[in-house]
Amino acid sequence: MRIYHIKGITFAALLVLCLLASFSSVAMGSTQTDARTAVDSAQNTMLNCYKAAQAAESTGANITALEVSLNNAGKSLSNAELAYSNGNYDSAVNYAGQCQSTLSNFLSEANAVKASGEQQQSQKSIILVGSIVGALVVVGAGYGVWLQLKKKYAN
Amino acid sequence: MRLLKLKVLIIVVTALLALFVASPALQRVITSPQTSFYTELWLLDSAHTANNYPSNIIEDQNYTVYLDIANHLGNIGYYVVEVKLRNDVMPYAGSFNNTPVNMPSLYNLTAFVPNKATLELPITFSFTYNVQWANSQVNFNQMTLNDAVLNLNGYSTTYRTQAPSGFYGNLYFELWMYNSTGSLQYNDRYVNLPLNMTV
Repeated sequence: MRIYHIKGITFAALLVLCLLASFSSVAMGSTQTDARTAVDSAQNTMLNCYKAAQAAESTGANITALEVSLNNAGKSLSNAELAYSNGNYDSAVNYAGQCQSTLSNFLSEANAVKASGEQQQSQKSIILVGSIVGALVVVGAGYGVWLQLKKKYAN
Repeated sequence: MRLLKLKVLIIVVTALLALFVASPALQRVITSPQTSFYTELWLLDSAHTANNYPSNIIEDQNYTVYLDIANHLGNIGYYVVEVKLRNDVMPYAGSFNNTPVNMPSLYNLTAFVPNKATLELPITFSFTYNVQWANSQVNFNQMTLNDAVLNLNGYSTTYRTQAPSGFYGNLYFELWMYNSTGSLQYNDRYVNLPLNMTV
């Protein structure tokens, strides 16, 4: 009975401690370091996503949807930087978070666009080779027809 | 004679057919490759013209301009437009040695523009300021730029007696971009609006 009592008290104390910890973090807000880390992390994510968009674009794919996401995330990043420079660290963390969430699926989307671009590129290559081979076949056929006609008229 | 006519006919038909079939390949050969890589930056007034830029500013009134970025770099560009405000005595952008205004940016507009595309950024701004008649000076309080409130404490401008006279401030939009190594670099382009703060 006594053991259950001690367990109950320990559990209640832990619960109170957890609640206190969560309240204190809300009350204290974000520090300058938190905000700097959040903004830097958002900038890094943005750069990585930009490189992914660049790779997708190089395949000749249409990257309009990627551009829209990047520009939306860019607005949040601009606001995060402004909030940080004004010393409004909570707001900076919030905007940096918005930037990150806008770009959360970006890399997979960029990879899908890149894959579709590569597929289109390989189709174009097949058409390119096919057109050269086709033109050679047409020239060969024309020459063959000419030879047949020449033979027919010679007889 | 008939054989000659047939020969000509076969050559013409074969050539036309071969050109038609080879057109996808020819398209690639004929298209001239891009040789110059650059970015364009320009500013338009609220009617999308270059006629009626805001010049005489009334406190707390909104003004709209459009900032356009056209990308001819061959790939998507990651641009940052730094917004700066300078008065007559502050350092100015070096047009000849391609240096930016040596002042901190008030706000960074982030823009991504795909190759061969143009991005238009609508910019709505307003100013709050007060005049100190004793020393003919306008002290800026803040600027609102597309919902972002920018603190202009410490920014001021004195009365310019030479024509055009007034309390002038120059609003600069400088183009910076991330280079291949991932560092931000001035792109040698800026546009600016000379603004007279009316009192």
